[in-house]
Amino acid sequence: MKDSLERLRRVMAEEFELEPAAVVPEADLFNDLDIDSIDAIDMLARLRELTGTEISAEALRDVRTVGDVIGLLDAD
Amino acid sequence: MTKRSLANRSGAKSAATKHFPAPPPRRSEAAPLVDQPSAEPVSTTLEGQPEPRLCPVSRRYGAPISPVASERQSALWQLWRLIGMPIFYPLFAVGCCVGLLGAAGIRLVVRVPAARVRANRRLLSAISRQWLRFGCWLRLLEWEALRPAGSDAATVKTTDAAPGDQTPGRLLVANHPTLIDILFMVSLEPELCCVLKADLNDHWVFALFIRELDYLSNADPERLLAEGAERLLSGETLLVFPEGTRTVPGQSVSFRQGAAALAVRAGLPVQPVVIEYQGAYLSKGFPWYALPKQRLRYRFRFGGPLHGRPTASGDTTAARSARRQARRQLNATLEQFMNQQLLASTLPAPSRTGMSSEQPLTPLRGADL
Repeated sequence: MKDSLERLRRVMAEEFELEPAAVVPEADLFNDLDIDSIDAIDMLARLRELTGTEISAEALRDVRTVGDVIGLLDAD
Repeated sequence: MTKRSLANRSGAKSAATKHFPAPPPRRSEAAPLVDQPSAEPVSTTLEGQPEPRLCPVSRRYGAPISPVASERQSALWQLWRLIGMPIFYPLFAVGCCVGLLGAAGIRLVVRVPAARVRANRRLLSAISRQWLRFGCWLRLLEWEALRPAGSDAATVKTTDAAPGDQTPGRLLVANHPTLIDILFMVSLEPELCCVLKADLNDHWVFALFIRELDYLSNADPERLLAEGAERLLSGETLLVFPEGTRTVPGQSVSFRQGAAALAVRAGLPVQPVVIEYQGAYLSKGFPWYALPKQRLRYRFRFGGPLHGRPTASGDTTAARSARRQARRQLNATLEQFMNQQLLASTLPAPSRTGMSSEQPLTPLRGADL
């Protein structure tokens, strides 16, 4: 959990220039972090590279918050 | 094959339904023939972006739209719609059956998969065209398409004649007022590849169609982007409805990012198609079998190509960031353009846009389409 959050923070900082402090599990990707659906695809590609986990784009449909993404990472 | 044009005539008086609650005042007769977005302050995010525009039109398709909606007052028409609509709508199901038989036939005859897909698309195009013609003939439908020179079927045919030609296809981006928009679009673009929403795949009939026509689904956005860009670059013309579903009647359109992302990824412009539609039948929230109280009126206006800001290719963080900005900007411009055009819709009045007097307008002929 902690690990995934750290990884996600790193990706978010690199890709979208987001402050790590803003990336909290409750943060809504679309409203709070200004990440749209296409950004989310890029983000997944990065995460895949970084962690080697296979996350399907289908699963992405239901993702709303940072917590959901962490859930996907940990579920794998 | 030469077919006669389908003319629809109509009398006087009007009770026009508007797309939006508060349409802007009509422009004067002296308004420019090429629509320009109104002189609103352009936000800074749009800086450096070429102005979207509608091209002057040299060709016209479909049946001319009557200047007024008289049928609301016409008792005869009101009686007729009760008979005509129940004939017209289900006839499409008959068309679909013909299409399935045709597809089966094509499967037997055409062995090359790519050629088979093209044949199937042309078949759907022909069936749609005949169905729409029939609707016009029944006086239940009026539609016209205004397209700039060089983006019509004749050009499409020329590119056909040169197999292996790597001219990139066009990325058509349209609003989505009603269920049957796609039928007009395929009748105008015989080999169009459409992007459909994933839900449609759940129904076996649609799934069958989608497979035979090799349409793209948005089920997997990552794959859609990769495959869509690849198809565009290999010469296929794609149609995307970036709203993702039909427009809620009376609301402005809101575009998702996919179409712009596709354009940026392929490095190609988008061609906006403004679909003006009068009324709410076949719209979101109306069952398809609801009988309209007036004719279905459509106007399709094809815009000129709208280029996104050029971006560097490559997979660096900087390149991705640049593409992201270009995409958002393009999408914002498109959305703004579309809403301005829809607000300015004059249906059922004849279109002033593109009705250039210098360029003779050719009425619909079957052979043209």
